[in-house]
Amino acid sequence: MSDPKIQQKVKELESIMLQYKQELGVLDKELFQAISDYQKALDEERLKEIKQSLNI
Amino acid sequence: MTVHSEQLNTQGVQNETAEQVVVAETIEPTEADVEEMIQKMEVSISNEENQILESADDRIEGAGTSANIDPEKAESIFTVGGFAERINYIKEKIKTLATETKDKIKSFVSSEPEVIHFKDMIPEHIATTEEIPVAEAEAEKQLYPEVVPIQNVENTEEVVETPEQKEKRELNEYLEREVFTKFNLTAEDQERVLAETPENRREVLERSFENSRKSLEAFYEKQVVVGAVDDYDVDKAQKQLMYNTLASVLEDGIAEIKPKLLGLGLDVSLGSLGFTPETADRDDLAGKFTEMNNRVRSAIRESMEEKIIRALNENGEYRGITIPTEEQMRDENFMEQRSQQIKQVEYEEIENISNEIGFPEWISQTTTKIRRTIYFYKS
Repeated sequence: MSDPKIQQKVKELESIMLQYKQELGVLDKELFQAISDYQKALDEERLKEIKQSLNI
Repeated sequence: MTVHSEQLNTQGVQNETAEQVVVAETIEPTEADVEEMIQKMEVSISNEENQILESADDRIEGAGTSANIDPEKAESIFTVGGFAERINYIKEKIKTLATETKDKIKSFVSSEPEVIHFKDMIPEHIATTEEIPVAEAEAEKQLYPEVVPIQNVENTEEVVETPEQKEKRELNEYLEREVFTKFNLTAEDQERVLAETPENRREVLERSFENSRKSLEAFYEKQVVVGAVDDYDVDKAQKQLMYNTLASVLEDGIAEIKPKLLGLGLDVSLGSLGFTPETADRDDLAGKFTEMNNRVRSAIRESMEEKIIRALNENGEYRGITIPTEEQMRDENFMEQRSQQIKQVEYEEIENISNEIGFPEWISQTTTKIRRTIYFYKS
């Protein structure tokens, strides 16, 4: 295989990897946010319990 | 002739190499490099996928634990609140993205058998010592594009502060202004705390620090604040804080009065009162304080009774009180007067013993401390 073809392959692979990382970054953020929301819901529930126990 | 031909051939290779040195300053990837690159990409994709999914599972599990909430309730919130569905959907998208990307990459694997030419085995250019690091760095860039961090992909042009970074910065400023300076925490402590503090915990943590800051500053210790942050479990940290501050009120009080109580045969300690970090709260403190006061009063009364009985047995009289005769015992008026006299003496004796051990003053001071503590926890 000639060098230009290999160069082309490398470029395409790099492009695929870049696109993958961009999409993964977006999904990772979405996942992080979803878990943060869940954690927040648990914290709120726990705070309710604490407030009830302290009669605040 | 043979020698001449070899010499010519050698000369030809040398000439070709010299020309290529001028043209090819960067390393040209070969088919073998591409295959190695593909393998590394596949490994990288699998690793990243696993890392994200495992980290997510850890965080989900940790969320329930750190909130110190009943596991069944946490599970219910996870399911009924729609978090399970939402999170699983995103996880599936991540898995699909990884699989599809790996499939795309695999399609690049060459079906042509690789032919190694003798020419390719001769180095085009022997790099000098100075050139090697540059060439390696260049090769690294070409072969491993995945070394670029994810978070930089979207922000390569300008640095914009994300909401998470903003919260972290604000928390940093808050801690610096209100807590670290006040309690003389070192910069090292601060960095460690910030590094270990989950950003989404800011609100609860702030409240914790706010309580910490307000609560009986005189009782504060650096370890208390650091301990509160070390415990990601905010509720546990709060309890620990309460225990440390409230327990110190009782401990100080007990330390002051203990030698005198021992003289009355009363040994009081936090442990004997059942005041523990697990049960500590402001209501418990008030309860334990009342219990302790009752024990002290009871010990004083017992001490007074022993004193009077001993005096009557030894002397037959104590401050006008005598052992009644059978005739006196039949006299109701006498017995009524004697009863009043005994009450008066008991009252005065209890007061004397209380004053001797400083009980009234101790109650006043400790009550003030407790009221102040409770006030700060309520605020």
